[in-house]
Amino acid sequence: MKRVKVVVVGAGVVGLSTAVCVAETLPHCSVTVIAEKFSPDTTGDGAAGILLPREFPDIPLERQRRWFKESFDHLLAIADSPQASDAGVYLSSGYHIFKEIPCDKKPFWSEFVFGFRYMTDREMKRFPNHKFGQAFTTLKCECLSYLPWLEKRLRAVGGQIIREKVTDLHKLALNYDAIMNCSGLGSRFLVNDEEVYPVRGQMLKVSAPWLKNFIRDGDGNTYIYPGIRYVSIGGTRQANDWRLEVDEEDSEGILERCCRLEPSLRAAQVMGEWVGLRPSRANPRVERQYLHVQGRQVPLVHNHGHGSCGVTLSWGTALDALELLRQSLFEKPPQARL
Amino acid sequence: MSWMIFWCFSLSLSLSFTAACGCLQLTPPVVLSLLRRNQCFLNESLYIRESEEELAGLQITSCQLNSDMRVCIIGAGVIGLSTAQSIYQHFHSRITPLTIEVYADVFTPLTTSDGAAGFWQPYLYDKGNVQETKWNKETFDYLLSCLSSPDSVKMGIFLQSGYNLCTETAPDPSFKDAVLGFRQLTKRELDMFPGYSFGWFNTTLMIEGKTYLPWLMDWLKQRNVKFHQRKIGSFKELADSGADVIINCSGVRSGDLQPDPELQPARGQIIKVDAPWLKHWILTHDSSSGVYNSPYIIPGSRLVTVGGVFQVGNWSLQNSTVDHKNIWEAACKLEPSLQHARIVDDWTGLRPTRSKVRLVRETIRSGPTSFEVIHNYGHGGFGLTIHRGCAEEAARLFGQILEQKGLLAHSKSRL
Repeated sequence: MKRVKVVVVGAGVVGLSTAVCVAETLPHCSVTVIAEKFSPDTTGDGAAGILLPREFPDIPLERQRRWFKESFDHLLAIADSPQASDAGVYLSSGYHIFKEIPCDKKPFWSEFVFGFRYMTDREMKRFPNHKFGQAFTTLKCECLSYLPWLEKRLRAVGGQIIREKVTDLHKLALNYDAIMNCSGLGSRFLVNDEEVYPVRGQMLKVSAPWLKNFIRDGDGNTYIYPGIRYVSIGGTRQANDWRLEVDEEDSEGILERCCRLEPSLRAAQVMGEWVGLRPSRANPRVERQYLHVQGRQVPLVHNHGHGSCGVTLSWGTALDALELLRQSLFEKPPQARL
Repeated sequence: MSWMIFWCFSLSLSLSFTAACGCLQLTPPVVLSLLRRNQCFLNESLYIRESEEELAGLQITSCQLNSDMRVCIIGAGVIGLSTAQSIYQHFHSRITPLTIEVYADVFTPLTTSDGAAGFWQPYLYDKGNVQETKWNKETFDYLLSCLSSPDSVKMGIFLQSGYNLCTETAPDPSFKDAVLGFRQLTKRELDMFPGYSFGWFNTTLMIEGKTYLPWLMDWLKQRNVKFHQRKIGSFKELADSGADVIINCSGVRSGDLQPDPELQPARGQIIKVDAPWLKHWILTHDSSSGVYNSPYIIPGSRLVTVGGVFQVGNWSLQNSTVDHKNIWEAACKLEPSLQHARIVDDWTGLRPTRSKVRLVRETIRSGPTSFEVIHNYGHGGFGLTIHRGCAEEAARLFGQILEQKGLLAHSKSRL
């Protein structure tokens, strides 16, 4: 039986999730992942990986709910299994605190995390500069473990990996029947998506194994996420800032703000610093177009622009992208390549 | 020294005493014998400072002169050490000199407190022991206040959230108002734990003995509390050597000092595991198996403590392979991710179990004399949970003893 050759561009959390979705669901497809960067050098590898969505302005809420719910359920099943430590997926509880009471006290995702509630007065006492807080249990998914685990899963169903930077999709389309574009920030150049822009984030890795609960300031600029190997503290949100070098002033600011929220951090040892560029976009782009190559119509499914919600929405958007692929293969069965 | 005696002579001639003190008249022979008995000389600077102030007001209470108080604490687990701390905090400035000594054959890291997970949680229900609920809450509030201090990490204190799972609906536990963010578990949460149909979620404190005890010992040593590595055979032994008050914090072996049929060991065995992805504690409650005889998983700052068994009457300190197997199987069923965790160690401890904590005074006759004992033992599996409340109560009882001996001033001339 002729195999449909699918190529996934990008091996970050979105690329590998998409590849695994396709490879495990469509047995008649062969899946190849082509990317320049692999774990531990992808953007997701530095991210704390806490599942915490934000609301995008132009995507129907129902679709956003589905993206998050499916990602959450998928990772929960892993957290509940013997695979949890290999995959780096586990439950994480904590506090989301606000200096000013937010308009949306109960966001759309509150029903999908566990035990969502407002913080009690006693709990708020720890944060005298904050007026309101939400407490809940969500999941943490550490790409340093998760990406290699996904890669193993991909190979187990015959998926292939090629380490190469892709610069020309038309050329790629000569050798494949379908392309999934999961190139993150790279989409800006690869498909000329001018809506894609970096939001620079700097973080510190500290050793503070006594910290178990996360704390995130609702303004997005200060967070403490206890992880397996270290605690991720941060952060910054610098739009259109392409710098990958560590900025000392940013580090000082991060330490100062985080120690104020969690005084015991003063006893913590800094293990390292990291900078990542969130592949941001007003809304994630999960849609399909066709490339016209040598008389063939090659489906090009986009799955990029997740910004700070890559891990959070990876599985849900991968399932959406899979559906778009499935539809296009059905509507326009691939023709023979020359 | 001789000029001191001369000075006291002159002092004694011009002294008067307030009636409230009910103290003796200081005649020169009395002063001399008091000075000889006292450790006052050793604390010369303090004595001089106090007395100079006193001279100005020409009043002195006998308390400063006749207050040689020697307290001997038996036991250096969390109860013994925290009791020493409370006594020091309340009385070191009111009684001079106050000598506090701790006698134990076992010190950190080998005490029962060291092996325990360090998890603040009383038993689900206090069965009418409302005092214990009060002491538990007092301890929680105290530890919570320490959390924001720069010492919190050195004390081994931190917050952790988690799950109390029950096989059937149960009434709210005694600690629901003490802990943070107490709520019932939702059905979706319970779905994660097959076999458990009800439960609670809350945030509580961890207080790790292996860190807390060394911190307490440092704190005490800095304040001149002396430690003696020695097994005490009887209360009388200490009384004969000059102890004025003995505080019995000897835990599970208190029966060796004074028979107590209500005190029994409740053997516990735990497995220490490396599983740093676990960030919540999980305790299960099965009314048919009884408290702590059901799996529990409690992550610490470095390792995870997995248990449990609660074997009343079992004095064996040996790790049992049968217990290990049962504990491990039950825990892996509860938390599948444990299957890939690295097992580091096993440990066995004896919970000093009693129908209720024994925290009382006792006057023991020894021939023509008598001495005071304060008992503070029988804290079962909640010693760390209740320690501060009990230490403060023991200090209060100690204060009663001091008052009865007329050693505490009610009105002090300086103030």
